[in-house]
Amino acid sequence: MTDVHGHPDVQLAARCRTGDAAAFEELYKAHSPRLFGLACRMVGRSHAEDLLQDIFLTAHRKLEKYRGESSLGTWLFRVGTNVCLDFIRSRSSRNALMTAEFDETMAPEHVTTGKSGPVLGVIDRIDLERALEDLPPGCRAVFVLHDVEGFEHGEIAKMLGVAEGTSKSQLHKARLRLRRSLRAETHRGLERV
Amino acid sequence: MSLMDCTDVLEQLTAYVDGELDRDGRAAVAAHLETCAACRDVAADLARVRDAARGLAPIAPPPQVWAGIAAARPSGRRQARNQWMGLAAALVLVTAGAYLVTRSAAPARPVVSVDADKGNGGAPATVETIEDELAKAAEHYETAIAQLEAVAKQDEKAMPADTAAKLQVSLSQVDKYIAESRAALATEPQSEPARDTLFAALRRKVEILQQTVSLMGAMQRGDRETAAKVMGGKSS
Repeated sequence: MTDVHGHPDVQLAARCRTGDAAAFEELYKAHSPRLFGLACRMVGRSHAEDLLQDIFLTAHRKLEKYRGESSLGTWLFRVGTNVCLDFIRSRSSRNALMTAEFDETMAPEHVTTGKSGPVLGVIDRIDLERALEDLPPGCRAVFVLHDVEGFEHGEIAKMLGVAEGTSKSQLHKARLRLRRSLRAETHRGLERV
Repeated sequence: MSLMDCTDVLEQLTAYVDGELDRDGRAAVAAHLETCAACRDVAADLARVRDAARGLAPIAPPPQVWAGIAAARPSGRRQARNQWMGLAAALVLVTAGAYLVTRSAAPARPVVSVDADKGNGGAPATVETIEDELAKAAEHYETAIAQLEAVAKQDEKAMPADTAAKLQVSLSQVDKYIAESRAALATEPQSEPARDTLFAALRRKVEILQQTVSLMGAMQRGDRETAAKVMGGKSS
């Protein structure tokens, strides 16, 4: 951003800071769908509404710190990610949140039994969202941040306070688990035909 | 195809489909995939999962979320700091309500609503610094927690041993976060992440204790349906 003070994001933040209700609503309308999607996928639908409220109230409290170094959407997203991660941390033990070991039970059946099976076809969005809810919190957070939101492993590692290698192994674990869930769903679908 | 080969390749497949292996690693995996249809299928599936995730769209929140934010939104800087104060002070009322529920013979719902837009609630009129305000808010939470713990302790035998054990595990975990956040704030009093984590953990502890008290009240009344809902994680 070259002209920081005149930038629309900086001006909108300034209006919000003065208590301009319309400005804050404008901020909410512009960014809440992405943040609600983040909250739903990180912590589950049942907690997402409360968390979305927390995100925007936290953002309102912290708006005085926004100086336009990044877009307001990016800044808000970081606030949202921290709120979601704090929620996950408050509900999980450190050990349960993040493990670095490769889970042998995730090995595909052709490795453990020598047999293979049908591959995934087109993945239904609803099936994926449902499968995502069943992931353990640590690998779920990494999957959402990397595959859904597009963060790099280095950034994710900083956000989560883990090594980059841990972020990579958690992503691998998440994708294998999702593959297993989605294949089970595919089998159920074939049986219904 | 040897089991060992597939196991070794499996660990590399996410990095392979994401293009993160070096040249030698990529060549080794590619050579295996040329001869192993099963691993090829796994690689294709992992890429499909990734691509499907990239296509997940934002989700429109329900209208009541904005209504809650608009009602709770502070209108200025000083009131923004008092958000925690208002929530914390209102918790003292919540714990009094919860105590009455466990003592009442008639079925009743615990009072759980919190008016975050009350601003200072029952807090003192003058607080000089942000640290003083937040210390007062933490004090309110701790008062609520102490009251809930006292109520819970009086009737702890009413709860099944396995449920009590699970609740104790949850409380131990959240106490650990409270202690860590306090330690972080002791060395860095201005740390907002530590402050946010502390209040998130305090709030979570209150939620757990409220559930405990609700459960005990339901068990005393013989209200199995409510007890089952509370143990299932839903508030009565």
